Amino acid sequence: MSDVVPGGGRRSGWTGRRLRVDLSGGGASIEPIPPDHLDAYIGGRGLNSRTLFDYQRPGIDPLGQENPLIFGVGPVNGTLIPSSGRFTVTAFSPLTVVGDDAACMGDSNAGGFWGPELKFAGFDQLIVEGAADEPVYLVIRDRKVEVRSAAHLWGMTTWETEDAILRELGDPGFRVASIGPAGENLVRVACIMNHRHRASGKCGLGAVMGSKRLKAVAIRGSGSVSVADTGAVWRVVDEALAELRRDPYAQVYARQGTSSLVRAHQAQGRMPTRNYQQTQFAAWESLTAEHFAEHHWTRSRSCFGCPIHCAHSFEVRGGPYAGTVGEGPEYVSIGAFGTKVGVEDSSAVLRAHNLCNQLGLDTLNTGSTIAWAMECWQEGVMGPADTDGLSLGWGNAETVVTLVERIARREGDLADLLAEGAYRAAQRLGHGSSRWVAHAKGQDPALSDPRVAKAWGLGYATASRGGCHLRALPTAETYYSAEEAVELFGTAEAVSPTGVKGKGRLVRWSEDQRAAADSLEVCKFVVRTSLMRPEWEARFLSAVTGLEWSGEDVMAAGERITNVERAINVLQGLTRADDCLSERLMNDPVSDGPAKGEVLDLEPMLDEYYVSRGWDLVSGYPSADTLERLGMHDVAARLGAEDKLAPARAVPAPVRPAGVA
Amino acid sequence: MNAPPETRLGLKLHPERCTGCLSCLLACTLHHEGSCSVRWARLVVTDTWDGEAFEIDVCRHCEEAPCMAACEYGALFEREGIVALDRGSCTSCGACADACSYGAIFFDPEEEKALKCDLCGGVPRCVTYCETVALEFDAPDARFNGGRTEEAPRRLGWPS
Repeated sequence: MSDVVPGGGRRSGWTGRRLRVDLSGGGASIEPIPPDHLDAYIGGRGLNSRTLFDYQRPGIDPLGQENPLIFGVGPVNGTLIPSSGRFTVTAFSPLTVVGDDAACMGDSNAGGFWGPELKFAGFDQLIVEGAADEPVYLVIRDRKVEVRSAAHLWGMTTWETEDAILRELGDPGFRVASIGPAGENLVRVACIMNHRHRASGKCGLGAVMGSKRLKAVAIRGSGSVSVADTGAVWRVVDEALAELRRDPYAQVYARQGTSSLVRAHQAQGRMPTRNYQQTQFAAWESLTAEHFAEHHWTRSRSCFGCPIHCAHSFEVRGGPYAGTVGEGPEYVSIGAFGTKVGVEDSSAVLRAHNLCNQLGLDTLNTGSTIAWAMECWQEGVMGPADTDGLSLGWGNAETVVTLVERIARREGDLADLLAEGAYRAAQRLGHGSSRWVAHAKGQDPALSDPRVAKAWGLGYATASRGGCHLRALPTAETYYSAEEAVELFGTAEAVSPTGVKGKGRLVRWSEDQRAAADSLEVCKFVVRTSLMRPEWEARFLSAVTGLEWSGEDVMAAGERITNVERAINVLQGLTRADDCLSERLMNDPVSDGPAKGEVLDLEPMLDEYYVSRGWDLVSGYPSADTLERLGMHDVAARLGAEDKLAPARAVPAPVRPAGVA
Repeated sequence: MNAPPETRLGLKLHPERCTGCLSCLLACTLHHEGSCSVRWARLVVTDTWDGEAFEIDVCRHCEEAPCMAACEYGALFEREGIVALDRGSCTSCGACADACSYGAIFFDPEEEKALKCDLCGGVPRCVTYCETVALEFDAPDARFNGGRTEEAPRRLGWPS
């Protein structure tokens, strides 16, 4: 798996190969990946984004044949580096929008076991092009790929699909990523599932897979991931594990996973309740980690190579949803089917969450869309005549569960409307209902109220795949001390909850660090700890690849990734006006709780962010000298040709020296 | 079926603590192969989905090892109290795996020669990197503690 590095030496970690499959009859090919793309964009998310850049053309239809579906893994995938089992799937999004409702770039990152299997089969990337005439699935056995009929699988849930494929192939060692009925029906909030419970949920990419009539991708690899320096790998893993065992966040996530956030968000007044109309949920105690531990959880589970094991198997033991067995729930699902729609019953939350995993729906965007519909009902814009007989009162658990099933199959007029996601549904419904959609670029950014959590609000607004808490995941705001904030972001105010100064630099730093993590394909739960410093990612990369990486190199790669994603969106029509949040998330004052009265004053933070990035303050376009500094000459040339490159100007020094090799 | 043979030096298994992360396989292959994989490991963890439990298969180093008796080529033998393997003598016949009561002999995906646990010469890496202590190793013999004197590291969280 090594090839020769220009100038001598060996290069490990990457396979250096991609598999390209054209479902429109073009066959399959194995090709080398340009090594400069690996060095500059690392792999996984970054490499995928650089690849997607080459597919951009005006008017691209995210559900059309011209949209590629790109799966990618990073250089440390499949190794002992903690939690190195993730992968990113990338395409133009059928859900998120920029400019004049053009498709935003979209991606989604999942754990499980599928990612490393792609690597073991010998690939860093799988690109699926075109669309099949009839349902198919891909079987990848090391370097051999086969397109098989999926006629008999069409209509099955993701769990049934996985079981059927493993039976059919006669080998339980295969790892399967699949779509459910939601993806088949081009539901814009459809996800891709692997290992039953691991979701690529954001950006509606299950619908892209459905548009290609691609039911599943099954992989089995017998290869190994080479590492350049085994001694260095043992050392950095030992030290990283020692850090994690001491880290308070890792300890809490190991016990409770993200459901631990229910208690914290309620206390801080940032718990989205009834479609963000409130920040306090009266029955919050029935949705805490402690409640799930006492009533539902049966054991801890992990993704590939992860010491944190944040996931839990659960069981519903009584009531109307008895017998529901699955894995979860994440905080986002608790919010989506609990607080946001006013449901108090943890069993109903688990039921809706499980149905989403089986039917192939993203829990967050599905719950948010139902919450929007409930507000329409509250405001009298929707009545019994519009809802196929359902009552959409807050807290009606039966309605929520029924709607989840119907949305996946577009069953009835209401479900067919909601299958478009809240942003498009509101455009279609009218009556001022867009006013109640909580979104950025068409996607609900998740579940920390941005009027209260300021850096999070800025991160939602700038996230390159549309509203998203994970692009920035600005936990630096609460993790670092005032002294560390001065060192990293130039001012202590950056880590003050109500501060404004320094937030732009903090979010820029966080986005670059997270982009790198997504491209190594390690889990953010590992690098939201004391391992957040980019020097850790540099050590992981150096030990595995044999190339010498510094923290500055890692941040420069992260910056390139953010910039190439920006460039894609700019070519699609993005301007500064797109970097904002909807009214509900920004301008409606918080109505209750400890943060009562708060709004989000986005513009000053956005200014600082743009200046820190070297992007034009008016247009939001990247500037020539920023891209040149990062060595992104090809990207700059393309933007220049389309007249979307801001002129070179004096750019402030980067937060950390770029250190481009 | 006969009762499984007595074991003496094998790892202690606590599958109820296992979370299925496969770090044990990665540590195993990094130690033995200098690279990471799941198909070259000397142990296997299976997600049974049955009661959400995992199954751990690894050599117990039996007193009267049936695999040793089954091998006609002398590839399996006793050395310092463990059941050792000489891969060079293996002919891939599979008799050892058929004889093993614990499903603990595997075959590599390239040459299809046997792979089995050798306790990493006394410091089993699968034990070191299992965060939930689903694998334990108490060497009764000082030769097998490999000079590892530090206290067992504190592990992360529930359910351990």
